[in-house]
Amino acid sequence: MRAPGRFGRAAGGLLLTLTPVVSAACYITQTADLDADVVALSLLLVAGRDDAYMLAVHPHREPDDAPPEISVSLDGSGWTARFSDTAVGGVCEDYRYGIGPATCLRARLPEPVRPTGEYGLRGTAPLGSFTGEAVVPSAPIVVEPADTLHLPPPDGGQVRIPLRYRVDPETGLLLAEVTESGGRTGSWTERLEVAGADTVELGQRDNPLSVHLTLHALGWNYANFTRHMGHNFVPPPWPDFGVDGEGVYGYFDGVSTPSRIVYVLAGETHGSDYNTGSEADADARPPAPCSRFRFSPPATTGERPVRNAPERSVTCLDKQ
Amino acid sequence: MRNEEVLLASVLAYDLLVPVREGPIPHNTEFSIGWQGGRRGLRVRVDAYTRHLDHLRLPDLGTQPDTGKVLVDPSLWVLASGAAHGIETSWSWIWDRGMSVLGSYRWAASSRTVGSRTYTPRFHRDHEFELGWSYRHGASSWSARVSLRSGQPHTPWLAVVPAPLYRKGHTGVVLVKGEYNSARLPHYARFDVGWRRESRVSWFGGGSVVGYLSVVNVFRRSNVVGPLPRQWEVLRVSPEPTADKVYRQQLPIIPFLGVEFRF
Repeated sequence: MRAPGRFGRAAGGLLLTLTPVVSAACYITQTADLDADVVALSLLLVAGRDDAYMLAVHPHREPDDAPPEISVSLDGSGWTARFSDTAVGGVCEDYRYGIGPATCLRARLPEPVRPTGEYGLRGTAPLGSFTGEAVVPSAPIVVEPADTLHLPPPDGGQVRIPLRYRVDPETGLLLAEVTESGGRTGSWTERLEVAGADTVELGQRDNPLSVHLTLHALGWNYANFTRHMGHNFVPPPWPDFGVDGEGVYGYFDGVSTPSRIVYVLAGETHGSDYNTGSEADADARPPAPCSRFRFSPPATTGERPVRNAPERSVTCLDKQ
Repeated sequence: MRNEEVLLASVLAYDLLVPVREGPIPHNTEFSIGWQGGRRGLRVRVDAYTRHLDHLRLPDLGTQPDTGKVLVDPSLWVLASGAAHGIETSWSWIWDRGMSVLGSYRWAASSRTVGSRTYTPRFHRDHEFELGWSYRHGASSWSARVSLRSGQPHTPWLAVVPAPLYRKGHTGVVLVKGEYNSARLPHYARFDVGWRRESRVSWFGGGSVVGYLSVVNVFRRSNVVGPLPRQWEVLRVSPEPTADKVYRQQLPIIPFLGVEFRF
């Protein structure tokens, strides 16, 4: 009767030996294979501006952790500018929610960003050095319509704004920035076909409707980035986002100056008052919310000028 | 027809076999060598092998190999090749007083080549160790089983890249992946225990009733079979994102209690 007892003790001993071994194996932390030192960069050079803003994020860290510490410089034609100070502007203003701690860096450039200009990026990040290249597209040229398009009243239905334009080969993505100043107000962007013609469609709208729009051309690096956004992982070989380096991802690209403004009036527009000529003021600024307005001739006594509008071309016809 | 590279293949143990209608015929070339020996209650066997597979039919991986269909139209499969080599050992020790131990260890390397892409199959594990112990005393028997395996291959996530979108006022995310199946998931570990007791009965002309109790995955090890990319964004903005949730898990702890009647 001793043998079973001995075997029982052996069995118990084996269990006692196995238990801690297996326990240890079971409670090894299952960490995700994401490197906390990875840096995500976003940099868009805006044609005509003499500064550049870059957003740098540690996307795999907790939001309360320290933001990236990186050293970056921008190479232009015969010059180099460092991203030396922190300031919020440019692309950083479009960063609405955070995945990880972020910082916005600014570089003051010795000259305004040139359309068709080629720029380089060099820097070091926690996981190594990185480089980048980008070309700034030229401003899109709106072929049609002329500066003002007069459409029938929306009548509660859809408004379609046909556009024809020309872009240079450096354009990978074309955006129409639409600003509405009728019953609804606000601005937003619509993606357009790069291939020369597209239509901006507005859903249910009030009558009358007044909007204006400009076109913005962005380079291929940014276009590649936006095409791959979503839930599916991007496998290698990765498309060119303009940034290349160990542990550094994101985009580096350029955006053109805006095209000339196209004004669109639908419905009650005091049609005899606006100018349908081909000359347009490319520097015109968006009018403030206004249900009815006209362009040219210049504002006269008794009509309230539109805030921030070019003095000689846009006038709000709303009653004061 | 079973595409083993998709994640769903981990939970769907189902296959449909179809004939290869056109040549060349798949073939396997293998060399192996083995040795076996024993003394008293101990037996040990060791095998080594190298294998080459030609003219396999495998699905084209595409850009998202892990999210496709499990059963794939064979007409879409492409010619592929494969290779494997490894060492396998097994041993047993049977004590004549009711205790026995069985075990095995296997090391292997394996690859598949489809087009220009060579990868490690998703179900491959470099190392596998199994150890089972049982003890019988009277009508009762106890058993325990340990299983340790290295992690399966998976494609690493290199970065979750958030970036502001120009004039959009919000942020887009690009998920960057590494080379296909170039990383390894956390290792697999499982510990099961069991007890059973047999009693003779006279029902239906005589037989035996066996009552049993077993617990699978005693330590509630969340063995993982793959990542969950679709939950990543949600997890990251939750108050306390944890890595555990990032992976698709296998069985939780499962107790079994039953009675078996034999006649």
